Order: sequence, then C-alpha cells, then structure tokens
Amino acid sequence: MEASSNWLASLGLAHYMNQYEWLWPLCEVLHFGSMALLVGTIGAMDLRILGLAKSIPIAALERFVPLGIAAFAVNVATGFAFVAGNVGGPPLDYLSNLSFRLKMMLIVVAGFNVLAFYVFGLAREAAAIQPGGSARPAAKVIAALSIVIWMGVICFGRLIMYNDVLLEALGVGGPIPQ
Amino acid sequence: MTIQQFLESVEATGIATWVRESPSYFAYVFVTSCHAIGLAVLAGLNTTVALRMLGAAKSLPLASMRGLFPAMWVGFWLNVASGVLLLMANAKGMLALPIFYFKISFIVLGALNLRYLQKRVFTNETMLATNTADSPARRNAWLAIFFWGGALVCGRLTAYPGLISRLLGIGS
Repeated sequence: MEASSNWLASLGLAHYMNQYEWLWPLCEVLHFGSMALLVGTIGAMDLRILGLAKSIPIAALERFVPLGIAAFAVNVATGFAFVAGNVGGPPLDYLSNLSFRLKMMLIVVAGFNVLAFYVFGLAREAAAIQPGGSARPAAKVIAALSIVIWMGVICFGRLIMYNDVLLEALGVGGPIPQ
Repeated sequence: MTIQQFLESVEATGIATWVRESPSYFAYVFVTSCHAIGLAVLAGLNTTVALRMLGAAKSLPLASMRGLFPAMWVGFWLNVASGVLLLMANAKGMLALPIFYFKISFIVLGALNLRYLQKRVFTNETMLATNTADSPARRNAWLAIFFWGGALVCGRLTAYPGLISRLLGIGS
C-alpha cells in the first residue's frame, strides 16, 4: 500500500491542486454533479423496477444507462484526483482510511449487483415489461440493493473526512478531542 | 436583540449544539449525508426529466415521467430538513457568506421551476399527446439544469470562503 501511495504521489497531481486553489473545489462539484446524474439515471431505473412510476416502459428508461455510466466515469476520474492529488498528506491517508476502504468495497459490491442483474437474465426480462407491468421479486431485490448500496457509498464518502466518528462508533478509535 | 444575538441563540439551542458537537454518527455526518442523498435524488431525477424534454431517449413517453415528481419532492424536503439543521449549527458563519444567499436563491428558483414543470408543463395535454416539449417547456428544462447546477456549485463554495473574491481579485 505504501508503494501504491508513493506511485500515486509521484504523478504530481498535488502540485497542481496546490497551485490552482479552484481545482479541488471544481473536482468536488464534478464529483457531486456526476453522483446526482448517476442517481438520476440508474436510481430512476431502480425506482421504476421497485414499482414507482409504473407507466414508464423500462426498456425506454434504459436509454439513460449510458449517461449513468459516463457519470460514474467522471466520479472515478475526480475520485482518483482526490486520492493522487491529496494536498494535506500522502495518498496513503486515503488508502488507509477505513471509510474510504468501505466506500471502495461497496462500489465493487455495486458492480457485482449490476453483473447479477445482467447474468441472471433479469435485465432482459425487465426490458420486456410493458408500461404498468411489475418486475419479478428477484429484480426488485437487485433494485433495492442498488439503492441501499449507492446510499452507503454516499454515506461512507462523507465519512472519509470524519473517519474518527466511524472509528469511535465501532469502538476502535481513541476519544475525539473536543 | 440584534440579529447577531439571535443567530448566537440559534446556535446555542440543544439541537444545533448536538448537530455541531456530538461525536455521534447521527449528528453532523449523518445530516450532511442526508443532504448529499437528497441533492442527488432531486437534481438527478429532475435532470433526467429535463434531458428527456430536450430530446434524449425519445422512446420514453413524457407522460409516464409524471410519476417521478413525488420522488423529487422527497429529495427536496429531505434537503430542507437537513439544510435547516446544518444552518442552525453554523448560523452566523453561513449567513455571513454572500455565496450562501446565491445558493438559497437558486434553490427557491429551482423549486418554483419544479412546481411549474409538475403542475403546468406535465399537465399540458398537447405536450403529452405529441410526446414533444415545445420551446417554452424546453426553456423550463434548461432552467432546471441551470438552477440545480447553480445550487450545487454555490453550496460547495460555502466550504471555501473568499475563494471567488480571490479569483476575481476583489478585496474582502
């Protein structure tokens, strides 16, 4: 992990983050904006599969999935910039941060969730659902998991800067200085 | 009582002190997480509806998207509630930032635009029948993206007091 941190630091992004003080907030705005787009596209699919706005044909809503994937790519790029361009310390501060690690793990879990949706044929079945029709329970479980996982990603993302709160809650941290 | 004294008394209330100072996860961090989730639901879904109005995913019937508006209002009220708590916790600091007033203005305009989209645009029989948004409706779609984008940018900038002044080279 030390080696990964050194490699990330060697990219020199922190130099630009320091030199242009608007760069970090710009990346944050892009990170939040693409997060909203991800929720607005993939989350809309999840809500429809769960039974909200049933007159929406799922196959048509699926046209927005590429936008959701593009938004996710922006999230990965800006997230990478935060870690590699960390100005307050080495990238290791992120890599060793428990909230950050749990966030990354949840994103991997979200990936497997999507994979299950396609591998088990649920995506094809869902696309065939007519307006007004319901998805079957297995698809609803995947959609509900997707919403819970992405909400968890957002919560652990916010926790990165307040990692002490998580450690304290888990009983593994020292007292938080007031 | 001056305004400053009033804001200090707001910050001194039990709930504001708890949100600001409690080491509990459910204090500041949970409230700020709710604020991020609400923003994503509201701005994300409204942007998806706006993009459809502007010509994306034409096979998606506009009328069917009416069912998404209640979810957007859930996001909106979640953010009003979490936003009020965050403001109470740091009332003096927030209200001293010019950018905060821009953020609130964008949110008020965004909410009015959302209500207009729901009550006027998405009840327009011609639009729903032809499945095409006319140019006044498309203007509201652009405004949705602009207002929520503005609220997002200004909201983030409240964490960087003086940044805009420094970039523009105006003293403060």
